[in-house]
Amino acid sequence: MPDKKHFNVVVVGAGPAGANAARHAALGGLSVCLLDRLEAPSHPVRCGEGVGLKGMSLSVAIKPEWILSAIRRVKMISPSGTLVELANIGESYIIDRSIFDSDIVKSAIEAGAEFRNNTNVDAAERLTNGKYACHIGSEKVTADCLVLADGVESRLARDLGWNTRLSPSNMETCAIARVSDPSIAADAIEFHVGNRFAPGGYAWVMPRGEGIANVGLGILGSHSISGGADEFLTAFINHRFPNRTDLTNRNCGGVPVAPWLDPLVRGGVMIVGDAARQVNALNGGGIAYALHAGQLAGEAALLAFVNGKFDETKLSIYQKKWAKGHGKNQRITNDLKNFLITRRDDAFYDRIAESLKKRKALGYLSVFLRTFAGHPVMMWKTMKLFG
Amino acid sequence: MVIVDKSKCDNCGTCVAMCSPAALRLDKAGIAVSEKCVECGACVKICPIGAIRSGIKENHA
Repeated sequence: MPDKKHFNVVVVGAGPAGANAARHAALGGLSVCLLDRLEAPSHPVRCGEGVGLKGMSLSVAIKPEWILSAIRRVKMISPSGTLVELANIGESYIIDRSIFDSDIVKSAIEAGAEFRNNTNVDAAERLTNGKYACHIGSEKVTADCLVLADGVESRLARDLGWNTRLSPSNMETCAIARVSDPSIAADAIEFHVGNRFAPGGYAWVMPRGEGIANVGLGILGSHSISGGADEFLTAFINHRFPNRTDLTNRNCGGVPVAPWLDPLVRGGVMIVGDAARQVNALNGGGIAYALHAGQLAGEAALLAFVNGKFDETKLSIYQKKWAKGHGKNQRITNDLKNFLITRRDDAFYDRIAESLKKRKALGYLSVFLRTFAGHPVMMWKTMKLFG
Repeated sequence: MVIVDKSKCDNCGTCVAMCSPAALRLDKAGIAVSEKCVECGACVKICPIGAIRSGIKENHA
C-alpha cells in the first residue's frame, strides 16, 4: 500500500508539544500525521527533566514509571556560596524524558495518529488551493492544517510568514551533563546563581537518584562567547563535584527566554512548544507549557473541522485559550527575567542569601518577593505567579 | 560564510534560532550554511560548544 499523502492535520516535531497536539487531534477522529526528523524524538535529552505537578496536571497525570525522584527541597546557593534552603516548594519530580516522551508519542499513535520518524521536513508552503505542503526530500505530504512543533531550531515558521529570529538577550545558551557524585541527594534540587558560574542565567543540579544528577547551566546569549556554555559547565562541575566518579552525556542546546510568539496562528498553521517560545523564561522549564499548548492546538484543530470541512478561522481559539491560561504566567516570567538581568547583581544575591539563610520552611514566593523588594509592580507579578 | 566544525557540532539548533538572515538550517546531515550568511557572528557567539567559526577570519589566517 503506498504511503498516505494527505491528512487533515500534519504535525512537525514529536516532542511533548507536537505529540500531544497529534494525540488530541486524533482523539477526535481527524486523520493526523506526526513527523519527526529523528529516529527517537527528543534524543539526546537536552533537559534537566524537572517538572512541577501543578503545571503538568492541566494536561496529563504524571505516571509513576516516569518518576526518577521526588523533590522535597530546593537549595539556592548565592555567588559567594551562602546556602538558602526552600522546603515549601509544591510537589515536583525529576522524570525520565526518554520514557515520558516516547509515552506521549505512543498515546498519539494509540489515538490514531500516524507516526513517521527519520522524516526531515525541508520546507513548508501554502499551496494555491489553500492546503499546506511539507516537502520531505522529493516526497511531499499535504494537510489542511499544519502544527509546527519543531523546536527552538524551527525554520518552517519562517517559510510560513513568521519572523522567529531571537535576539541574544532572548536566548539561553546551555550545556548539560550527567554526573555521578556521592554528595548528590535524591530529594534536593540545587540552583547556583551568579555570574561566576552562569552569567545571565544559573547553574542547576537535578537529581535522577541518590548520587546521580543532571547538571547544567544556561548563559544569556548576550553574555556569551563562543563555546562559553560548555566551558562554564566544566568550571562548575570541577567546583561542585571535585570527587565525582563519572561524567557522561555531555550535550548542549538553546532555550528561548522571550515572550511567547504572537500570533500563534497564521491561516491554517499553529505553532507550539519551544518553537513558539512557550517556555518559563525565569527557570527555562517548558514541558508543562508544551503539553498544554499541544492539547489546545489539537483541540482547536478538531473544532475547525465541521462536517469534514476545514474552517481555519476557528483555530484562533488556540491562542485565546493559551493567552488566558499558561500564556499569562509565561509573560510574567519574562518580565521578571528581564528585571533580574538588568537590575540585580551578585552582591545583591549574596545580601538576600545572608538575610534568608536561617529561615525555615521557605517557599519560592518569599524568596522572589525579597528579590523584588522595593519594586511593587514586580512584587505584584511575583504574587500572581507564585501566589 | 561561517564554518561549522561537524566533529564538534552537537546538532542542538541554537544557532538556527539566532540567525538573522535565516542562512542556517538543521537537516539530517547537521547544520547547513547557505549563501544568505552575512557573517554577523551571532551564531559564533551563541554556540554552546564553540563549533562555529567565522569564515572571514579563516580566509585571512
